Parts: sequence; structure tokens; C-alpha cells
Amino acid sequence: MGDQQPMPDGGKPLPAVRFLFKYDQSKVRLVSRQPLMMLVPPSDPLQGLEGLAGFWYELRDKTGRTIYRRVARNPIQHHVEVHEEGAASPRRRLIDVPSGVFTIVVPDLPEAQVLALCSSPFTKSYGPVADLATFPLHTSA
Amino acid sequence: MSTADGQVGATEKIIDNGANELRWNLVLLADGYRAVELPLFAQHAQDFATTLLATPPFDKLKSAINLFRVNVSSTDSGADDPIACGGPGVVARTYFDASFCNDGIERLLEVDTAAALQLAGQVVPQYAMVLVMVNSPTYGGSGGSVAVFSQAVGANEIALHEMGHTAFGLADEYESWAGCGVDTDHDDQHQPADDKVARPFNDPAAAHHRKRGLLKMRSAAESSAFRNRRRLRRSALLPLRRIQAGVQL
Repeated sequence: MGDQQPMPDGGKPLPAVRFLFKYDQSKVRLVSRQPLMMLVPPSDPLQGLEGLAGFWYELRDKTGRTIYRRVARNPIQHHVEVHEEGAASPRRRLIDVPSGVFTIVVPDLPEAQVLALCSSPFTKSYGPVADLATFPLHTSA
Repeated sequence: MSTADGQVGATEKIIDNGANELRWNLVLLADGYRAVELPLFAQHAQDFATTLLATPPFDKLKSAINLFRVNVSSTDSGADDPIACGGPGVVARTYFDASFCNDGIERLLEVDTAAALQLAGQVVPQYAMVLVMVNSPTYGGSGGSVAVFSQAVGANEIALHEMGHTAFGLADEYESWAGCGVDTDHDDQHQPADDKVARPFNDPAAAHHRKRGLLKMRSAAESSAFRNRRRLRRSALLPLRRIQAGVQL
């Protein structure tokens, strides 16, 4: 590591929360939440994605307004990449019964009331994104 | 066959570029290493670190990266290798229950992902990605929430490939429809047009790139780990570059 450039510590870690989910086909269950301090990516644009396919997660305030959004690789895997020795690229195979776990990290925003996972439907039509699951962030709310 | 088949030992920071709160933290977990084999894991982890830091584009981003090695011992060496996929039928009692032949696919090496993520969260809460190194000479690996790879020659590439997905936010549709991987059972007829898919941004400035199409990234394309990813958006590198530059994401 001796040849690297020195790195200024100008960044500022922020309060954040890591959520761990389990999924079984299209059902998603929140397993745990872990508060932490770390660099958190900025929000992606809150507008302009209407009607698109894909996956994102977002935070909403008490009025339902989206206040943070991250477009991401869909963590609910309906296929696996199979890496074969010597092959130029992995092959993809569909999974019969998707199940697994994944995590996301969001900023711990005081005004956030709901965490929403938003995904295209799990069909071959790749339709527009809609709510897959929502989770209240404050049980007393 | 479970976390009862091993023990969690020390966590070593083998690439240290600063406070975890300010860096992109990789956590490397051992599976299928008996306690007496943990020095071997240390060597394998160091070899991986060397490969990582020599691989574009990580070589240019190294000061943004921390790498941790977690010394997890297992009762047995190796991984399950069922007869069903042509393996010798080995059953190894390991902490993360590594096994080949998942979904009936010989080279698909997977572990107990929940156990790996939970342990990573305990030892390095700010982890960005979790890798599990399996002590098997048989080629195999897998991606997803946790990248898994064996100790076969070239298997490091699996981890680097998966890191590309995590570090650069490459989406499924990108891989599937733009050259990273060959679909064997995908329904191509129903793919949406490129401008109908929300792709990971990594930076708001990427928005206009989305309208203009994907940009070439020579350094990524030069890497063997990314050799089939001909077009990688320049914006995808921004998060690590910003960490490297010490600015707030």
C-alpha cells in the first residue's frame, strides 16, 4: 500500500440504518435493522422514473412523499450466474424457487416514516415498478 | 453443516486506508478452513488482496478500500460436493455450510448467506460487500448478496466479477441484456427497451448519460474480470472515486 496517494478525511459519515431482509419468492420479510455511522450514497432523482422497469428502494415521509431513493440491482434473485472454469463469461440460469437474504443501507432521516421496496413484477413482462413491500420505520407511528 | 461446525476468531484489517466510516469496506470470511489451516487462509486472503489491488479499476481506487479478513474456523476442510453433480460425495462440516451443486449446477458454490451477512454486520458494521473464501481446490462460486469463490486457479475472478456488480451498481438487466453473461433460459422476447429500465445511477449526473446511452470504460474493459462488460458507465465509478477523494457521497 506504500504507493498509494494519501487520502484526505474530508468525508462525513452520517447516521444510517442497515436493513436485513429475507425473501421467499415475492414475499419479503424484515429480519433486522442495525443503526450505524457510515458514508451513505446520495438520493437518486425522486422524479422521472415513472413507468420504468427495474428495482429501487425509497424512504417516504408521513404524507407519503418520497424523500430518498436509490435505484439498485434487484436483490431478489430469479437467476444465478454460473461461473464455469475457463469460460469467457458466466451463464445465467433461472431459479425454480427464489429465496435468500439481502441488505440495504439508507440514511437515518428523522422525517422518514416508511421504507418501501419497489420492483417490477416477477413475471416475464418486466412491467413498471410498483411497491413490493413497505415497512414502517417507527412502530409507534 | 452450520455455524455450530466452527468458530469465529479474530478479525484482521489487511488493507487499512482509514476509518471504516469513511471507506468502502470489504469483509472476507473463511469457510472450510480448519483451525490449523487458518494460516493458509491468511495467505489466500493476502493473495486475493494483491490480485484485487492490481486489477483495474480497483488499482486506481485502492485508497478508498479497506479489506478485512475474518478467521472463521470449520470442523472440516473443503465443501460439500454431492454425487448428484458428479462430485465425490464429500460432506464437509463447515461454518457457512459451503456446498457445490446448488440448484443442480455443478460449479454453483453457495453458502449460508444469512449467516455470512449477520457475522459481517457484527464484525464490520460498515461493510459494503461480503466475500466468502472456500477452502476447496474445485472451481466454483456464486454471486448475489454474498460473493463466494473457491481456491481453484482463476476463482478469484468470480469475486472480482461480483464486486463489479456491487461496486459499480451494474443491474441485472445490464448484465443480461448487454453482454455480461449468456442467458440459457431467459425470455428475450419480453425485454424492455433500454430507455424503459431504471438503472442504478450511483450519481445524479448519470441521468443525462442514461439518455445518451452507455459509455465505454476502458480500464474496466481491460480487466479480465470485466472482459465481457464492454460498456460500463463512467458514472458508476463515482462512489468509490468520491470516497477516494475524501468527499461526502
